[in-house]
Amino acid sequence: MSLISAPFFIFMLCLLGAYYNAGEKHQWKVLLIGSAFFYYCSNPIYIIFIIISIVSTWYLMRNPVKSHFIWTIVINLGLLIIFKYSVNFGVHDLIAPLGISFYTFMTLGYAHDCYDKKIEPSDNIWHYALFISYFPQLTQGPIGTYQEMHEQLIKYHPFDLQRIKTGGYRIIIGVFKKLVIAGRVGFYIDTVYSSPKGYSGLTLITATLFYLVEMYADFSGYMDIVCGVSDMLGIRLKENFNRPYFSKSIPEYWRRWHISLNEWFNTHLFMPSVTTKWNKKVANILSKVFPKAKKGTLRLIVPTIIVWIVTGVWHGAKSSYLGWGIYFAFIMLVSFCTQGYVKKFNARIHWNPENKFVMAFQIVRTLIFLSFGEIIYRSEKFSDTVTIFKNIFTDTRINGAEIAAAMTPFGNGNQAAASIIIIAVLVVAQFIVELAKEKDERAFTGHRYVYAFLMLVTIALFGVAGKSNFMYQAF
Amino acid sequence: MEELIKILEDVRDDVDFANTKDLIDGKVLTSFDIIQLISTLDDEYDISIPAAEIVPANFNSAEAIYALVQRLQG
Repeated sequence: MSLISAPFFIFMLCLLGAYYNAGEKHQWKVLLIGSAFFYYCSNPIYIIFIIISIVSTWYLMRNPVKSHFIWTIVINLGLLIIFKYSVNFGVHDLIAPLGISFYTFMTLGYAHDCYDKKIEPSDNIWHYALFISYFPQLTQGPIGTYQEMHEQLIKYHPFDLQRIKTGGYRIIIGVFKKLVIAGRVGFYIDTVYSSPKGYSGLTLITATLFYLVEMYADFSGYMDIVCGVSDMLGIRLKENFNRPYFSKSIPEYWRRWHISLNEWFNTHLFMPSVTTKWNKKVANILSKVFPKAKKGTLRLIVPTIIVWIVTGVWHGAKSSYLGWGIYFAFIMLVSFCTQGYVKKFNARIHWNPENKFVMAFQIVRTLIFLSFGEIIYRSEKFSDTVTIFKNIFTDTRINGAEIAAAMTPFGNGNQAAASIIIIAVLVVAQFIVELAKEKDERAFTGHRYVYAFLMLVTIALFGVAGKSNFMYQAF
Repeated sequence: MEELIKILEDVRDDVDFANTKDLIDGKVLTSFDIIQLISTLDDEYDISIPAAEIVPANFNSAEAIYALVQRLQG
């Protein structure tokens, strides 16, 4: 069931009706039934796999001893690997169950926290089932933690019109980002990236910058929709984005983009790797090779490489994803290892980090390094990556005909130019709206009605119908 | 305690460790700083701080860090 579809709209109306009419004791049950129905409608047979995961994990982690923890990892990771990767090796041609990556992350996070005694294991399998299957976050995250979610999910939420309004407004923002912004720029990127060979540097740079816009609009648009849906039910989901393209370094960017996934990796893979005995030994060996380096920095090296390779491969069994992971591991390590020197250097040249020009320089620098990574990620194959980099740095033609040809999905001539201007205006408008939202999160003031109306009109006029699949759904 | 403050100041010389009580919750220390700190504490006090102990409550103040070290030493 797509989130931008008539069936989902009807589903939400029925769910909200039942949810707010259910008594105090039964409200969470409505949510569980609704979530099961949502999953069943989206992916009927595969509901069996999420049930296997829920029942086995809940049962094993009731007594969170080491052997049970290991079994939980084997079962859940096993299912994930079977569905995600075996298809690449021609073992079967099954599609992966809906949201398997995301509910596996939540399940493993829960099991790890139980094992580490950070949380009390759930004593009610139905409560636990709701935590894992809660439909807004099931398909693409955000990856909620048990601590943040379980009380909210089972607590009674009386009807509140304000919440319905703010939630609805956020849904409109999300649909707008997805159908108008991501949908439109998507055409251009697909055209250029499907055969990048003949394109000049300028066209490839434009396509790559558009890709940054598409990724943010698609993914954060999706998050706006699910957070809006959840807001309507009185349940706050974790925010997954914090204006990531304004980051001043790549490590900062990864703290502001897909926050819940990066926090998950940090808590459940990175920190445990940093603190293992073998990593300490590796750092001791490395300190003999680099006697001046801080031991703490040396302890970051292997865990950083592990986390980034896993993150890359998590996106799929494709060489470009692996290349992307290695690229960011390298950038992160360079950033960690040079941090001390950069600080000293900046102090020596009286480079004030609070200065606006310095900040702008850092933001642009981050975007350039980020774009390089995304070129690797978006390329269909490695030879395309090489071509794109080569053309960007060597082919400095400004070829009007070529740009026009790539723009045909926007329309012809003036129509294309007009579409692009509209997109640019909308992106700026979107940014202004987000700033306003930050200042005044819950209030629903008059200007929002006007803006909501304008967005709805724009969606009707410029929205790309039939492009309602979200990028991250594939993971 | 004084020794610990000195170690902390080696990690970050721009933070008032004696008086700051929200080193993690106030986002004063980054995860990079925490790893530097863990590494130094491991070596200086001959302990091994497990990942499960890396929670805000154990790192929010010099006192909390001191208590953690003592607990792991004992």
